[in-house]
Amino acid sequence: MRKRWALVLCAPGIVFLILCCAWPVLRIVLQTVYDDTGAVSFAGYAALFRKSFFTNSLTRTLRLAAITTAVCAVVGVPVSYYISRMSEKRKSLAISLATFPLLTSAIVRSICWIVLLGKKGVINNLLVGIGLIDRPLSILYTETSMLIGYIQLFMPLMLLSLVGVMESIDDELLQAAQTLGCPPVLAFIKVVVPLSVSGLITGGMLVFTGTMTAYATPSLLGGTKTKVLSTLIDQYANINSDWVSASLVAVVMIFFTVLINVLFTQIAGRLNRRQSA
Amino acid sequence: MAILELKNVSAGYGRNTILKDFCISIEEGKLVSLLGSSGCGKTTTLRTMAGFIDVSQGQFFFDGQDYTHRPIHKRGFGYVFQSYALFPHLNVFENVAFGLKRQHVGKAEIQTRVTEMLSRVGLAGFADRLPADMSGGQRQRVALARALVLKPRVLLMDEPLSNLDARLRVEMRVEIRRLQQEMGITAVYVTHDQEECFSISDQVAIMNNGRIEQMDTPVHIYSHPVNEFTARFVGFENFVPLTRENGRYASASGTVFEAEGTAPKLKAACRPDDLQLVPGHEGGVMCLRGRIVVATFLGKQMQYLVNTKEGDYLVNTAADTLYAPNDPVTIFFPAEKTIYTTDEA
Repeated sequence: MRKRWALVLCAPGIVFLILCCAWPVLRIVLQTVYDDTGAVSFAGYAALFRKSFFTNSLTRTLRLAAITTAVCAVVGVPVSYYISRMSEKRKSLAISLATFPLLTSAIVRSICWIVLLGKKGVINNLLVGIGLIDRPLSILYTETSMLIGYIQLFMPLMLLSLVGVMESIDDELLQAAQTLGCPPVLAFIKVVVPLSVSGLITGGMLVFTGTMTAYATPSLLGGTKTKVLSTLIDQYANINSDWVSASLVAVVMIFFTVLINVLFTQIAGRLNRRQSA
Repeated sequence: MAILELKNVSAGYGRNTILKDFCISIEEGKLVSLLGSSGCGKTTTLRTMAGFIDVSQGQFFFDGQDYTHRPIHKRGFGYVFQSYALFPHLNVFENVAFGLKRQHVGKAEIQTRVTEMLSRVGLAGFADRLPADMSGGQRQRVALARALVLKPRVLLMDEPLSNLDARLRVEMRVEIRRLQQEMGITAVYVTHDQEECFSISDQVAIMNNGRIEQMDTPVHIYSHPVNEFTARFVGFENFVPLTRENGRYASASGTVFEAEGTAPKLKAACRPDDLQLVPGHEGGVMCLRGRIVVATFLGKQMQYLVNTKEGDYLVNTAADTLYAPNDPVTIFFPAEKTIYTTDEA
C-alpha cells in the first residue's frame, strides 16, 4: 500500500524528468550515433577526435577543472578550518561573505574581472604606474583570467563542503597529536586533513563538474584561442548552426562529467569504508 | 626533589583567569590527584602543565628546566583526555604508533613496542580495530597505551575514567596505578571522584576556587582535614560552631567540647557514621540534645536527622535500636572521631 502511494507521489517528478531531461539528452545522444543513412555509426566521434581544435579544448577543459579544484582545495582547507573554529555569530558572517560570489550574476562578476584585468584595467594601470612592469600584461582572455574567474566562482562550494565536515573535528585531536610530538602544522596535516577527506571529495566533485560545465565565465573571460567544451558547443550551435557537432561535443562533456563523478564517488566510498568499517 | 613545579602561576581562558598566583610542586614517581568540583581549576592546572593554556604570569618548571613557554610537542608529557581523543581515521595500532613514528623509531621497533604495550593494557589482538568499534573501556586503554608507549616521564590524566561505568572504573583505576608504578612515571590525575583518587594516589590536592585547600596523603587528609571545605569533601557533615570562652570551647547552647587551641572560633565536626545516639536527654561534655526528625532505612544502617538547638545533624546507627520521629535523643561526639577546623573556608 505504502509502496503504491510512493509511486503515485513520485509520478509527477518522474514524468517531468523523463520529458524535460532524459528525453532531450537521449535525443542528443541518438543524433550522434546515426549517420545520414540511418545506420549506427561512430564516425562522427572518430572525426571529432581527429580535430586538434576539439582535443585541445577537451584537454584544456579537463586541465582547467583540475587546476581549479586543486587550488580550491589547497586554499579552502586552511580557510575552512579557520571559519569552522569561529564563534557562531562570526561564522555565519564569514560564510555569507564566502558565498557572496555565488549570489551575484556570473555576467556581473565576469565583467568586474574584465575591468580589473584588462590591458587598461585597474591592475595593469597600477603595475605600470608604480613601475613594476613596462608594458601591460595580457591576463584577460587567457587561461589565467579564466582560472581566476573559475576559482572565485567555485571556491564557496569547496568552503561550504569543508566547513561542515571540519566543525565536527574535536580540537582535542590536534592537542593529542601535539602531545605525541607533532608541531602544530604537522598535527593539522596528520589529523585535520585526513578527517576532512569526505568534505574535500564533495567539494572537489562540485568544483570539478561546475568548472567543466560553466559557460558564462569562460565565454566572457576566455578568448578565441582558449575555447573550452561549453563555449565550443555554443560556437557549433549558435554560430555555425552545426547541431550534430554541438551534440557530439555535448555527449563527450556529459561522458567526462559522469566519469569524474563516478571516480570521486568511488574514492569516497573506499575512504568511508575505511573510516566506518 | 620536585619534578613538576608551578610557581605563582596565573592562567586561564582569554580574560577569564582561573588560576591566580598558583603554586604546586609534585615529586618524581608519585601519583598526585587534583580533586575538586567543576570549575575549581583542576583541569586548568593540568592543561597548563601540558602547555594547552598560556601562562600569563609565573613559571612552570620540569626537572629544574623552565618549561613555561615550551611548545606542547617539545614537552614530551603523556596526556590522557577525558574524551580519549583517539584518531578516528587510524586503527588501534596506528593510534599507538603515532608518537613513535614522530620519533623516527625503526619499523621493527615500532612493531615490538606497540604490540608489547597493547598486551600490557590487555588489548592484544585488537590492533586492527578502529576506535569507533570499541567499547569505552577499550578506548580508554588505547588512550593510555598511546601515551605510555612513548615512555614519558610525566603522565597527565584528565578525568580518564569519568565516561566508564562503575565496575569498569574500579578495574581501570587499579590498572592505571599498576602501570604508573611499574613504569615509574610521575602522574598527575584530575578527578572529581573522591573515592577514586583516594584509592590510587600518593598525594591528593583538594582544590577550590583556583586554590589548593589541602595537599597531603589520602590517609592524612581523610583523618585530618585542615578546614571545613576539605572536611566536607571527605565526608564530614555535622559541624558545630564553637566559641572560646574562659579557656574552653563551647557551643551556642553551652555544651563544652574538648578542643585545644587558641583561635577564637572553631568548628567541631564528625562523620554521620561516627556519631553515637543514646535514648533520652543526657547531659555532659560533647553531647547535644535533640529530637528525631526523620528516620531513613539505609539497609545495614538507620539514618536519623536529629534536630538540636545547634541545628540539624545526620547520624547513622546500627539498625538494632530504633527511634521514631519526635523521640528525645542525645548525640555524642566521640573525642577520637571528632575533628576541629578553623572557620575560614
